Amino acid sequence: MKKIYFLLILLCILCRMEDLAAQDQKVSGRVLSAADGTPVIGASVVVKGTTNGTNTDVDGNYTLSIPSPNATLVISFIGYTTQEVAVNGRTSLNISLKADVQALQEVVVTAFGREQEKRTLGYSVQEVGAAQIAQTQNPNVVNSLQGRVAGVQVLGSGGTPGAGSRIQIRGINSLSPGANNQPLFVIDGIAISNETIAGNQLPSAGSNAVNSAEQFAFTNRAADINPEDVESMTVLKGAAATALYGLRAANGAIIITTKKGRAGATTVTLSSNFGIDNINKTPEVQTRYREGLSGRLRTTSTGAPNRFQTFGPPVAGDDVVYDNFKDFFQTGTRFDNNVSISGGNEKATFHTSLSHYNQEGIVPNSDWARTTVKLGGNVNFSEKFAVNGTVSYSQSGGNKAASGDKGIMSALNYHTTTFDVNDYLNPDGTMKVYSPGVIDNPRYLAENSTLKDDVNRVIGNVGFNYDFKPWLRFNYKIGADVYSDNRNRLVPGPIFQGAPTLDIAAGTGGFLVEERVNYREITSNAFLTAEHSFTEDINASLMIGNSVEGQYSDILNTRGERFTVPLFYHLSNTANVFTSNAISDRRLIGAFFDAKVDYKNYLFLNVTGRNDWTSTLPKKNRSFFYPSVSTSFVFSEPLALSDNRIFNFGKVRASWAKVGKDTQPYRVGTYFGAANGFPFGNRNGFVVSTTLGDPELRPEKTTSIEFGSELHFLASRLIIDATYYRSNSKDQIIPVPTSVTSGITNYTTNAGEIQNTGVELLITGTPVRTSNFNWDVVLNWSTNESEVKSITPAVPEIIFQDDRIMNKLVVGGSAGDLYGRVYQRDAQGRLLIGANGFPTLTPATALVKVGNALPDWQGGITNTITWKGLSLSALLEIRQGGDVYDVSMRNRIRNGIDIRTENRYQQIIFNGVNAAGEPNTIPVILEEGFYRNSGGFNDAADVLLQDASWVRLRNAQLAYTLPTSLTGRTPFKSVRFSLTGTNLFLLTPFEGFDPETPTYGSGSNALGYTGYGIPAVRSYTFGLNVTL
Amino acid sequence: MLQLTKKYIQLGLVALLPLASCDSYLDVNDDPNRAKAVSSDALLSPIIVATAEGHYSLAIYTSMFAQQLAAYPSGFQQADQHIDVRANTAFNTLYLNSLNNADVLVKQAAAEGSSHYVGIGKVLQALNLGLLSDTWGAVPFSQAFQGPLELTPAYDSQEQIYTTIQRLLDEALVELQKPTSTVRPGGDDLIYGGKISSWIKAANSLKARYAIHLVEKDGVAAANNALTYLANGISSNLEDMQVVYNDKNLNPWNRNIAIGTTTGNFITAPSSTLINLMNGITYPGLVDPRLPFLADKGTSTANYAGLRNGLGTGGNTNITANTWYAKPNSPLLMVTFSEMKFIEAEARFIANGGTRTSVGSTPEAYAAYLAGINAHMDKLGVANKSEYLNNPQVAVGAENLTLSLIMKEKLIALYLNPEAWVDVRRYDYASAIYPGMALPANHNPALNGQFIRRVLYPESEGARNAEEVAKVTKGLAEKMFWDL
Repeated sequence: MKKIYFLLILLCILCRMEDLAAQDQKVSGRVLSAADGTPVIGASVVVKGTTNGTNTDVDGNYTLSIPSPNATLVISFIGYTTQEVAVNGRTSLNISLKADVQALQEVVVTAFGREQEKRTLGYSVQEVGAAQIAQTQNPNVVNSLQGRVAGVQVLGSGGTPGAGSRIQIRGINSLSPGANNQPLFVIDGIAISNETIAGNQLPSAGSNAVNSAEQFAFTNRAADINPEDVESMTVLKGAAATALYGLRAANGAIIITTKKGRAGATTVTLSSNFGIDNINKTPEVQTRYREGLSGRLRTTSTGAPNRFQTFGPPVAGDDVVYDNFKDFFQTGTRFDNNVSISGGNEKATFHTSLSHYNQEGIVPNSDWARTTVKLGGNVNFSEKFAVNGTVSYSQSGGNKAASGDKGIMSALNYHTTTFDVNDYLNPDGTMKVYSPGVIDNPRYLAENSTLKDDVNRVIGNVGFNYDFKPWLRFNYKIGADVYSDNRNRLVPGPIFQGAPTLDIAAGTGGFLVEERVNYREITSNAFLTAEHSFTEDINASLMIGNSVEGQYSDILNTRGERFTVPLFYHLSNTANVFTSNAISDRRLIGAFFDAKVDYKNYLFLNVTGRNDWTSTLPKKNRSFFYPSVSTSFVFSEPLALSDNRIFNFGKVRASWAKVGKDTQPYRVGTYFGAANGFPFGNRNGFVVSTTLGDPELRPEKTTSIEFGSELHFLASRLIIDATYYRSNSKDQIIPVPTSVTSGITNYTTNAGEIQNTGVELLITGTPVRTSNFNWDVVLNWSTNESEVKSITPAVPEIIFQDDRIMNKLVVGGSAGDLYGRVYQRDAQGRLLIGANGFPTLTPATALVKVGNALPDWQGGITNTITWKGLSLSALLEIRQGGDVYDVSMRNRIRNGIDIRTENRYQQIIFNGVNAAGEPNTIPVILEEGFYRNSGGFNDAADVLLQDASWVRLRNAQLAYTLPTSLTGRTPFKSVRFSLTGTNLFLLTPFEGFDPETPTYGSGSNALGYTGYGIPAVRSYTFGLNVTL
Repeated sequence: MLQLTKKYIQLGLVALLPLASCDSYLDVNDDPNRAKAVSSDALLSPIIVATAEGHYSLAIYTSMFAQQLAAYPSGFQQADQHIDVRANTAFNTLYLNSLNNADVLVKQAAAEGSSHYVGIGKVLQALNLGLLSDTWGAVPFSQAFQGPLELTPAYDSQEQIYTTIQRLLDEALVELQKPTSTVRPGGDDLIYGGKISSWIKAANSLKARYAIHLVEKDGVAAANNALTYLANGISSNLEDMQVVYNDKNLNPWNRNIAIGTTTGNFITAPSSTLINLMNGITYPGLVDPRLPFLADKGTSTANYAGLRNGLGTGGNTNITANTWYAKPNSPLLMVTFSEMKFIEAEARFIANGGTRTSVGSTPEAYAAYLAGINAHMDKLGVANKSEYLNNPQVAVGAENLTLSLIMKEKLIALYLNPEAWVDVRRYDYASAIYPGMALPANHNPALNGQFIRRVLYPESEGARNAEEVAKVTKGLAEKMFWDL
């Protein structure tokens, strides 16, 4: 493999030398815009069939050496139709470029990496290109989709370096809390893993909350991809677009195409970015009261200070009050360096890159680094036979900040304002904390409670194309995605005998988790494509193909507890060792066809079918077939509108598709697993599994319809693309919760239906386009509504997460519905006041619907203004609706930190009515118990749940490309400087940290919880990009 | 026709497969992480541990109702105020972890002829079923554990469950007394290490326990039944039915409560009602040497004080690793010799015609009363027992024995055992029996001053088995069938 690439590179160099030797004649001229005669700056003028070329200057002028007077020039520029002009002995040649009514011939990547003209498609696809990815300046490629694609919701992951991101297309399609609702990721035609494996990092004993499984913002594995390697990301949203991919793309697909070499001059690109991150938003704290309880400082019976709460005496003269929420976070830094070399000739092309990314987080002692190497190429051995391949290696990892219960944010939000959170170390190295034994110092926690991950990953593929006949093509590709993730979770025990430990080590004397994740995914795809023209007007193509996939993972988790020798952290030094091993093997075979026919290149019909055979369903049900039909009609063509100045292009599209979906491995059958907490002493033990699968389990079926139109106005300067869809997912494979008295707690069976309907809008406009000045606007808007049509008669609800605010589904409800206890009100909405003068809460047993975690609608507006070499681009993201429960806010309230508690000890009369409907007249004092005790203020959804709508300047970039007049004499083809800002402003009614920081990680379906994750950041990045 | 076409399309597509056999490629859905079948010994240990854990997860509630414990405001304070008590974890543990596996064990052992496993399995079934029924009343058993065949099992009435408990124990005795067992328990028996004679005593002890529960209903007959069973019951502290935890598998009171008190997670602590019975307040001059074994007052120099139920304040004691009950390697007591002695004392007192208000009983009843205290003190390792045992407020003599003395001592000896709440309910929380027993502060107004008598079914059960639950649902203050 490597030898081939080495030869490739040599070959390219040789080609260049030939080119150099042949240049002797010159041709010069101007490139002008056909529309208004203004010069086209930076247009590429190349001698056809060679790598010999130049770019036009600010006046549109060019001069080029040509090998022979009969050479042909190829003139191209973005936004214009490429032209070829024969020189025919001329030495002066002016060229007039016609504006490319681009979208008309726009080519997009569809399933299996097939490039198709967008106009032929009967469904919606949207692409994000390299320029937008570069503008995002985020190491996680998933985040470059944020706010840019209608119907796609990307939930960022906050301020932990390397934190995962959750992506979801067109809502939640699954009723099962354990199901994967995220799309399939495909790189260069081969599926890869974007899983977020949370693993198990908890000790066997400690004082963690029961549901604190998510302790770290683990990385979603697409973050291993170097964003600079990505040429484009295409989002396949609906079932018709993904039908060929089969069940794994039931939630949509993200098709990533990496950069390829192009025939022509070898290009070397160097880019270097440096950025800083700061905490984006912090909650307001009360500054009037000190630590203590009942309005006074407290001591224990032995006279030691007894602190923790901040319900003490008023702050007096020289008392210092700290804003620990600001002080705790440091300025994070990011360095990103990238080199890529690409080039080739007509025989062979290559692209190779090397990158290193290094980030220090806003939380001390958190970091993440990634190194990637990639090499890809294509060789045409003959007219008929071509081989291509890509291999990339990445190493990534770092130290993750502890989140979740007993994590940094939990401790920080409890921490009193009268002590400095950064004063955390005693001279003997133990934790200095203002309330020992009750709370951890968050800084000490950050420095000592660590999780390191180290991921080594190779993604590679090799494929070939063989053209049997001009009309018959065969493609084959095989690829592998192999990674290992070595995780090391450490909570030290006493650092000397008798030394206190962190809370989480209290039960175990410290612990060490060594987790080894080994993942392997192999995919083989083969297609045979035939094309035929029946008449001049009727063309057809048929593709048949097959795909074989296997995913295997093996997670070995060994936890050692109770260190014998202090300060030596190795499994051999632990007294109690627990080991578990989870192996998963899942295989899939698919066979499919894709038939297309078009009439006069304006009416298109596309029929596909796929049969899947999956290993995860019972044998008799494991084979299933599903079809799709889509059609596109470019009605402006028969109406001959293309020259119409007002309305020049119109297309309507419609599709219907069915997609099947299987389940996770090992759902069916009775098994005995190792008992929880065993071995007990030296005895092992087994228990019968309490979840059981229906032996008649069938595949899930999602049926979706989609209608859309694409209309171009004013010579395509205004493009409106609208889509309506409705998808119904039936026969859902759900672990139906059952009465535990039956001996099982879940029965996995086919039940239930959820419907998602939505509208997506994409408007592209160019309000101003002159030779020097361009203003482009891209607006996307989408809304999705879901409704649970049925579950199963036996089950009234499916609980996704229960944490004071409950995320559950009921029939007639929507995905993301949140339930809780609210203040009781009478029919007129007046607060009901109890006999004690305080508002009363609805009972804990019949929770009331209080909100929904998913936004009502979301949108993004990207404005790009270019003036000569200067460009300014800004992405404004708007999200309307979407409620979240801030778990950490509850800590702040209970401990008297939050600004809401500043009115303590005041006497007030609650505005409401008593049981008899008379206005309340009972004066009450807002004692600390009002804020501290459960069952009241701090349990009321009225307080806990907040609207997390926002308008944020997600991304803004100012870039300047040096004019060719400056770079012309240097070896640089282009030099570009950029300054990028992320989250430069955030408008939201939400009080607290940035609400875009989930408490649960990117692999979780529990939506609507924030507070225990490290909050999101505002960042500035300076970048330099040089092309040689 | 359409079907045929579809088939041809499928065949055509399959023809493209480069694989020789797709069937063998796909046959990988047997879980490599779990066993298809396991031996009886592998099943027994987890059932035993789950039974012990079930005791803990129940007692965290029932000990509050019996006023051995009281909740901190940050703990289950609503439950301590008798508001909406459900004890979901205990219900789930007892059904899913204990009884479900016991059902598998009994069937598997019967099929393979391992009669001793059948016997042990049935004793454990009876114990778990007793815990369930004495907490919730009617519970499913005869139709339970059928998996998908019956996802909404009907509830057996409490009376039926009591019959079932005695039947299971009788059947267990038959199996345990069989000379042969295909597979014999050994180290996997975390309670008795395979000593079948101890299991026979345990079975008889449980028969006595569930017989005495009926004493309010059946009077002297129940007391005599209990005495009959006791004759073959546990006869020393060494035969206590208990699970001993270790430094790796921490006792649940240590893991969940004691560790919490060292990290600011205060859930529950000794109640003032219990502490006052022992610290000289309720019985002036009588200080119980068992206090430091039950409650840790840390560095406090004041007298032992418990939390006020329903209020969660006023105490200086906690359940810590310094107490006898909540060390990492403490045993978790389920059925003890001292409990048997107190059952005997109560049964003899009643068989002798004693009532709640009568004074004096037989020397045998008095001896059993003292033996109960003595056994508990021995269990804890109290060094100086005699001072307490000879205190005139304890050593009252047979002629001054009262049910109050027996039951108050039993309340202390059954510290952190769900069985204590059964007694307290049988005696109607009467302060004449349990001096100092009173309604918790901020008591659930919906109960109109009535004490809690049962726990509500978990919400999940109410949702998933709605019809059956609706048939048997009763209010928090409605009495058990044995409670008049």
